[in-house]
Amino acid sequence: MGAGYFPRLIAVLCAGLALLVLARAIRTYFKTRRETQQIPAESPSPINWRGTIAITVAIVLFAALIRPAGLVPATLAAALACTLAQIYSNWIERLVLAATLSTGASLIFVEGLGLPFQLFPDF
Amino acid sequence: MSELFDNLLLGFSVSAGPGNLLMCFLGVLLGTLVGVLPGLGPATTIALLLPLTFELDPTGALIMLAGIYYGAQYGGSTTAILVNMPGESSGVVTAIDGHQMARQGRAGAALAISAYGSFFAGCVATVFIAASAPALSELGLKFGPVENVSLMLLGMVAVVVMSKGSIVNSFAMIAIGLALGLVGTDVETSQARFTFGIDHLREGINFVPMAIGLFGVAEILRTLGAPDNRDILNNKLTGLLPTAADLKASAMPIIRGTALGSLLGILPGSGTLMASFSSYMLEKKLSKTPERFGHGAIEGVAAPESANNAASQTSFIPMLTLGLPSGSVTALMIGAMTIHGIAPGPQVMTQRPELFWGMICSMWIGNVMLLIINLPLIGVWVRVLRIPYRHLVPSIVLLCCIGAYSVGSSPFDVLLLMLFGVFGYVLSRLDCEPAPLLLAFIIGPMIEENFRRSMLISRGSPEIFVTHPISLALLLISAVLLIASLAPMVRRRRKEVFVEAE
Repeated sequence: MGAGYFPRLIAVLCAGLALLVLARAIRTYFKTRRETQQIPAESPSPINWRGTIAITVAIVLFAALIRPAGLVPATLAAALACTLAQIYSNWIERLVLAATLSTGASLIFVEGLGLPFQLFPDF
Repeated sequence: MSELFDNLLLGFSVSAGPGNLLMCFLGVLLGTLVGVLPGLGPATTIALLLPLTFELDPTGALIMLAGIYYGAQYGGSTTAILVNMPGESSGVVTAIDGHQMARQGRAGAALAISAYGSFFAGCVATVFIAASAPALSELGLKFGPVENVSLMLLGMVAVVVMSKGSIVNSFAMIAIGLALGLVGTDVETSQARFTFGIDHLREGINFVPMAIGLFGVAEILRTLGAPDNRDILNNKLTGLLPTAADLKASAMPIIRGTALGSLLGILPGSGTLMASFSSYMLEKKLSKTPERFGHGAIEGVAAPESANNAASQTSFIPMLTLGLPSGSVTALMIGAMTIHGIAPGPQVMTQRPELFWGMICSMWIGNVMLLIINLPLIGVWVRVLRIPYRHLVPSIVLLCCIGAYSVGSSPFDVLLLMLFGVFGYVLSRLDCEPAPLLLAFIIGPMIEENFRRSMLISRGSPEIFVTHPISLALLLISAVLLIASLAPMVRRRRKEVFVEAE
């Protein structure tokens, strides 16, 4: 019973299930194509690329800025990136929202809960 | 009997202390606040608020988490009734009649009955847990590594069978969860496994960013794609108190819902969904006027809400007594226990009686708080419901980031959060549930440890799992469950239940 025994067991399990899922997907594909005489649609609802990318970028910005720059710049940047996911009336609304959230986060987490975060970068 | 009384006394002395009372209060309040937000269910709420409990002592942390859970559950019902947007699957049933009542201007009565029903169910379920837990714990203490492996296997099979959607998909989620649980240093040989040379992964994948990503971030990505069609009732809430006729009509459904919910809640898997759905169907069958159901029948709110709350409470039984999570919420709680250095299992009751009984009694206190906090605050919750998505999304994303970062002050955890968020979104598009994955991730290392010990005992022969009688029985139950769920008749029925609950 070395370190690799259990991982191998799980690997076999994963591979087996993957084959099962694949087989089922192929069967459904041909079944729908036969029944509807059409190539089956990929997915019922389109992926929201704009939102997904904006949120992903926001989280990465937070991760990149929190250490070197502190909580205030990190939350400001992340909140601004998030606002790109949706439609706002104008840039002022985005900026006001980001500033409000950044102030709120600093007050709640650092002042209120006392988490040991740096707020601003050292100059 | 007197032992039960002593235990409850100990529990109340712990949970009614000013510190823990405050934790319970904060938990219920914050849980309701986040749970009210449309689309955020109890699992998401707990994952988001988990980091808040790290600074507390273990008892306080678990009491607060339990409070968050009830709060979120109740907040979800409020949303289901007022906006017809249930945050979690079990709220779907409440929304059917609850929202109709709200449209007829009886939102107050629906909310009040849901609170009374939940309170009654909570009281009964607390006594039920206190009475049944010691016996189960004692049974659990007799379990050796061999029995533990079979028990955990049964737990996973049950979760797969009871979860919604395809069984193959759920098994695949279990396998992926087990694989993710392997990452990190192997306890016995100290060899690094699947760390790819990344130092942060030596201690394994951090559970908190993973849970927040799978539930919180993935949920946001999903709602961003969906249009914001909240149908909030604009008329003022009046008549918060139900009439005598309402109370009379709801009394029996509440009692029946509680009984059904308490029993179904013990089963692993989505016990709360099954409980609220089957109690709704039961009331519809027993009713002299079944045609009123779906058009604002108060029984249709009272029964599922009581069942739902009873089940959410009794779902703690397997977790507290055997250390076995039965769904995403209890998996999160076990994760929280491990972070606080408590090994979940039957020994918790004997080694940490103050934690065990304190938590059970805090459940009852939490239910009292739900009743006193929520009825006067309904106006506030309605205002929370009106916050537009474009203000909500950035706030929740920031909460997720800060939560993931605060666990270990490591930006790497924030990147993990992002990865698991996108992964969770992909899973939801593929009709895969994240709950079995999280569950397997938590159980995986425990299974491996027990499996290795069993193999040491048997000198490498897997026969040991069928020669130990308790283990054999548990394995047979798993097999029966699995075969039954694949049988055509049960399969159709299962599909029916989940489709109707959609």
